[in-house]
Amino acid sequence: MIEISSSCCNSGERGKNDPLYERIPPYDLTLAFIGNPSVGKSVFFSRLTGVGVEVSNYPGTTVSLKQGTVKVKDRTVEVVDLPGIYSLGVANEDEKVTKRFLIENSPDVIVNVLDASRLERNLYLTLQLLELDIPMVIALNQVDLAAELGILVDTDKLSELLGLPVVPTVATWGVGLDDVVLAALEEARKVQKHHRVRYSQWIRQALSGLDHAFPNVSQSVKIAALLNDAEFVELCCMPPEANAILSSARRLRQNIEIDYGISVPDTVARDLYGESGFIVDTVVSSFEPKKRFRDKVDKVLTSPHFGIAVLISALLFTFLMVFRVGGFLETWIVNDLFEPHIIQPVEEMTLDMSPVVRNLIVYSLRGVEAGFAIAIPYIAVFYAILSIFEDSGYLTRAAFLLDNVTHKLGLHGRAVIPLVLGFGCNVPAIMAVHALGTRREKRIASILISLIPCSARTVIILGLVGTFVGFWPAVSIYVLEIIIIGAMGWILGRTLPGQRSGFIMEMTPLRKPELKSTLRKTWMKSREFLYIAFPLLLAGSAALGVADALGLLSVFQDFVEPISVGLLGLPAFAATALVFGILRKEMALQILAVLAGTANFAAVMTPLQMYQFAVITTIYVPCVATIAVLKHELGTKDTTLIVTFTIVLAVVVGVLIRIFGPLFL
Amino acid sequence: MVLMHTDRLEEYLETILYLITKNQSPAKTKQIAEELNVSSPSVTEMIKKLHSMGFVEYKPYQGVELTEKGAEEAVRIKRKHQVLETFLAEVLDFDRREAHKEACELEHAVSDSVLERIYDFLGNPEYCPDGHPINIDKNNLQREEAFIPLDEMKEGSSGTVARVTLPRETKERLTSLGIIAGEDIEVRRKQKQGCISVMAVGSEIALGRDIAKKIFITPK
Repeated sequence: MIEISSSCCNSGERGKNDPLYERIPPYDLTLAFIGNPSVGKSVFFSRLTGVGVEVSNYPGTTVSLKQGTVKVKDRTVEVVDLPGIYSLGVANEDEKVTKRFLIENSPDVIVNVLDASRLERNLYLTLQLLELDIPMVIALNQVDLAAELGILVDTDKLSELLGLPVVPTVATWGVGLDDVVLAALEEARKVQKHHRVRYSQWIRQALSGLDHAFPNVSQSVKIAALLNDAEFVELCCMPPEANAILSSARRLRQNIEIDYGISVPDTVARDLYGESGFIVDTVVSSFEPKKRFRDKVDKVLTSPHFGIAVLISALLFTFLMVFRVGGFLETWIVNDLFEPHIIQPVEEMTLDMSPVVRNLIVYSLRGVEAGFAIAIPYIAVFYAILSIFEDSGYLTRAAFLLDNVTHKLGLHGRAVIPLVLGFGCNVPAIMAVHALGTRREKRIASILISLIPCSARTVIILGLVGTFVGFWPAVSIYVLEIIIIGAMGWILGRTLPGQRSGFIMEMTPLRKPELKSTLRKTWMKSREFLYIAFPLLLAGSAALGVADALGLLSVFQDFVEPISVGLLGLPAFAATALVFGILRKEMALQILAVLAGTANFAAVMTPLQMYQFAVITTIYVPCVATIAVLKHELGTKDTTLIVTFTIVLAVVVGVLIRIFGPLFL
Repeated sequence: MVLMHTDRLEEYLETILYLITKNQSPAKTKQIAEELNVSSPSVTEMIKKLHSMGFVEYKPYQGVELTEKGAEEAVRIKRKHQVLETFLAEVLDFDRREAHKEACELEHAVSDSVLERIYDFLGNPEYCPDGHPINIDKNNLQREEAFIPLDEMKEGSSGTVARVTLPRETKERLTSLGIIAGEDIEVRRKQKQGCISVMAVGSEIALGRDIAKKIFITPK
């Protein structure tokens, strides 16, 4: 068993029963990356682990941990990428998960990635980590950006002050990565002499009070007890002792707060900042950078008028790129690659097999096709653009500008990013919802996104209504959708219970995006999508194929006839087409053509029916891939709710169109 | 402004309390007259009345001091004002200026028991929306530092965070980003009626208006 350096932590045993723990292949030691958000932590991780990464939710949470194994000098090392956090507090789930991981899974060594350009703030977390007494190495990242901003860090002095190795790195260029890992392996399981924060007299007084009663308890636990972080104390100590520490700490805290009129949490935080300020003063030599062109650009990007103009062009550009390039690539993948070279030959090969087996094979392949047709064109193109915006720092400026507007939808500025993504493809949009603070906001954003007409739905709107009914009716569908989304947001914002978090976001400095990092991020995100969506896509397609072979689809068609024909007035075969649309939205149109026996829809459907069909396809049930990511982000219950809700909404809107549509069409 | 007798009395006591805590010295007749927008002779007359009721002490050439009884009364009214102001701003959604104005009128009419119910309903807050403490210690009328909410600061101005009146989790989030009482910040960008961004311990943090309203800054 791994030896734990922190004295009172005996929860290593608990780790064994952890479901996460059991799935992990045997390894010699564990290395975890930890640091503030967007310091380049993930770049380290992905460079180190390459392909064999397992993304899993931490038990009982929606926080995902990335794990992988690497061989370094014939030792098998498990590498874990922890979520980006600003402190070891209790403010959000990411922080709690990180703390739990550090104590329960007790990594042998941690690599704390720091952003050299924002050293003082980054050191706040570092000082908290030092108290845990886990062997640690610091990767001082983005030293190049820091130098641009006029900040030079003396790494030797920093290493000496903190009592651990410090390696300067530039993750995007791969500089210093190997050194960090080698240094970390060297330090693993060693006992380091860490720098201790010198707290102000009141805190020290309280700590020595606790020392007296609980001599075997480590400093980190005592501080946590003083800050009333019960979860942390309970993780580290057995229940009776934990309770005793917490109650004495409560008494001491109240005494200080009454006697001196100061707040203990604020004082501890100020002490940590004071310390990191002192460290920065000692190790940083800064010079005034010359007023740069960049500063002027930055000013303009958030200015009231020009800023909005830039923003709208950026959004339009993104939308057009995803739509154009994505659409082009999709057509190529489906029509030139999969259909002639894979689907058709397989269909011919399986002609004499039993229909069930044949459909199982062919439909599974169609599932694969759908996966590639979404992942590569839309998700990859989208993430390429997004990571350029992200790396350049523009994304945070866009969120800054739009906070006001999104407030009306019960959301805040950060939700702009996923909402815009939704127009390209709902899948990456919902994947991006994770960064939105509270669960309430994640839910609102996810519901709204699954209603946004993505590029696949645009294919139907344009292909059916645009071609056979007219251009303006097609545009009116977009307007209708946006009205529905606005109304939904407005209602949800007022009714959905749960915590509202205000808008708090770190603005990243503007800089030139690097091609390398863009490509890497695009690859990582597309890969993540494949992991999440492929299993469901395959299973869903196969099930649909079997159902079709067994004649269940026509049973379904008859079953829903009272609704599809009776209530909505659609042709009976349209219901089957809608079922296929769940697999990949634009497939609804292809299947509709097959079932109608012609691609000239005007011959078999009235303009009203076409309009209805397009609107219903846009609203009803998100596609299988979207359902997969919804389930990943929100869980089964919410996903079921959203699916049911969209079906009901689609039927209601469909009926309304049947009643009021003839007035316009 | 025509006020009923007790209203007027309360208004005077409140003004005297305000001037004493602001200047940390006895209140001058002239200052009182300016604050209440009345003539000096009528102030002098009222002071005499307050003195005969045992609320104030008057020292020539120095000004008006509150007696213990007077301080108690003044603090009681001030508290009413703060609680009502909080109620108007937080529950009824008045903006801060309107809430202040309305509270000035209502404070004289509301009874103690109604006020305590409102205070309980609000969840016994410590600070009113202006960031001033609701429960004032009458024996320790300390000088109140002048501070303003962050959303009223100008682009490019800087100051020290005086107080953050937000729920624990949000406060902790801000703490981990370096926005905490005692730390210096500088306003980097500001949108009309929108977000504000500040420099705190070397990095730029964007804050929504709802958050910025509840961070109070002592300007430099």
